[in-house]
Amino acid sequence: MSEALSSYLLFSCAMFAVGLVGVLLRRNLVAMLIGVELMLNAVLINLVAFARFTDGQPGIGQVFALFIIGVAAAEAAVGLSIVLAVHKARGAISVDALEELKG
Amino acid sequence: MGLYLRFLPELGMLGLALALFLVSVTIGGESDALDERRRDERRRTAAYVSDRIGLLGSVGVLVLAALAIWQNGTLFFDAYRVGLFSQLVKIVLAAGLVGAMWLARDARNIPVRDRPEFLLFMTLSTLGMMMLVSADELITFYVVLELSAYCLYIMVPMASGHGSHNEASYKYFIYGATTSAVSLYGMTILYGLAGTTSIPAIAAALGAAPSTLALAAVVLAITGVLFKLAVFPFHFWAPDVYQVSTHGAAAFIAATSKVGAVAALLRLLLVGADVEQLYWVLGGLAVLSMTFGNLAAIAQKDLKRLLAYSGVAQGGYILLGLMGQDSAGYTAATYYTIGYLAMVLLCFLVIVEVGRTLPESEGGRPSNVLPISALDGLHQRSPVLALALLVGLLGMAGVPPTAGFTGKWLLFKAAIEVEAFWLVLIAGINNTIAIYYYLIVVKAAYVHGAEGQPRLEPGLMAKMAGVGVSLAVVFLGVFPQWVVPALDRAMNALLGG
Repeated sequence: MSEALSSYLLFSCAMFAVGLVGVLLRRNLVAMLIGVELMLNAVLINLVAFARFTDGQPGIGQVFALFIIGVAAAEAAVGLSIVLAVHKARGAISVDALEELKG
Repeated sequence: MGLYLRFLPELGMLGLALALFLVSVTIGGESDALDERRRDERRRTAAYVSDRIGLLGSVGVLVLAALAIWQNGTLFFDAYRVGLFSQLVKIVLAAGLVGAMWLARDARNIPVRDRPEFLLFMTLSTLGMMMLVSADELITFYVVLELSAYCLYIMVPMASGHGSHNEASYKYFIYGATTSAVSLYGMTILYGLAGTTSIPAIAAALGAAPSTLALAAVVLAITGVLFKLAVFPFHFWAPDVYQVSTHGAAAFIAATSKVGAVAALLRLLLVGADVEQLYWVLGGLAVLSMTFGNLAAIAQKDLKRLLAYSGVAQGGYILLGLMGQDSAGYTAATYYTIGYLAMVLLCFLVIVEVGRTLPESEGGRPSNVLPISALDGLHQRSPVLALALLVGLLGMAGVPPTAGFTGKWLLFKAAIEVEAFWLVLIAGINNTIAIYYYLIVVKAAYVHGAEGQPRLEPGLMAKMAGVGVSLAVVFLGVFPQWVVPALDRAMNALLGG
């Protein structure tokens, strides 16, 4: 494993961790969504770095990355529309507004 | 021509989705030129038409899937593999779609305006699951996994009510998006290790150089599917989503999507065919999942919540079959899942019928919640529905002669063959706990009196469906030799490459 590859992987791993912590700890619904986006971007960096520095099937990593970008756009649309619905029903977009279901 | 034949069930699903979409934009389309009354009328027509199209179309897809059963080969530059395994699962998925469509018909708590779209998303989600069992390539796998998942996220908030389904929907969505990001991270490591995204090629590369990193990558990669199966610790969404979504949506998520999840897990686990430590990971998750699910289910007062926790436990039993990664275990897991589909549909048949009689609450809007006490005296109010409930619950509890018993027997046998005796012992103890809470529900239906309960008048079709599916559950349990050899062949072909 080359020096350059491992530095990219370390960076993406850190970014993934930041995103995961964001999802788990933030109380704001949109901020949680941003955490997921950070995780997805870490995945993209991983893919492109592997595609650049290892000798596998050429191009497949970049193609995978493009697909993830496309799906992530759909994900943001679905997520934000649900947040909007929550806001309409509760007038707030904090996790504290979502504590009705328990048990 | 061969290409079209191999893709026949999926083409049928696409056609059905297109038809539903056209209904939703033509008849159900918003038009400012119409006054309120006319618009309402057209929405009603659209809902009626899409209900019928959905039901007939899904029966048509079932026929197409049965026609395409002997197809074999690959499609789309080896990204898509069609074989006995995928075709059998597609038939089961189509049957599950028929059941869910039938349960969702004339659903009073899905707003009329949303009905065509609701059925459209149900169809698209099933299409995603059908493609999932054939996906032989990580990119395909990821894209169709999200196709089936996003449709489910949108189906949950499609209900009239005061908004708690938005809460459940957001939880569902955010857990789903997070686990799918985790699973993508695992997939990128698999790609980095093997240099390709083809599942058989990755399996070969991991087998040649097994490592802890490979194990970690496979475990991360399967989290997205474990989430769909609602296995502990990825189950948090399940109780909320089951409880507040409409009965039709909950039935689809509880029954049909579980079949898709198990089949997808079988497909994805192929990458780790030579990673031996997966045995411990899957075994550990199985024990945690069944113990937690059963203990949490005991305390539930709401029938759908109880079914959700029991589903967590059932996911644990199914994992028992997968841990050995051999064809006997896979056969047992698939057989059990088929039986589970029928048993869950039976329970939801009762939930839908009883739900129709519940008083309207929440500001004149129908409530989606169904307490166990609503079943009181069911055997007097409708003996057929009480029987269907009994067969469904006893099947899940693993009482002979149902498919639940035979399935558990096959699962335990497969687990003992891979030397997991202790796990089987724990599973046996768990099963005893489970019988307790299933019997609480049976007691409400059979022992409690019917005083003060609303009258129940299920239609002829509902009665026939209840009896028919009950017979199927018993038949499957008594004559496993009608199904198991075919599954066995399918699994050998799947594992053989």
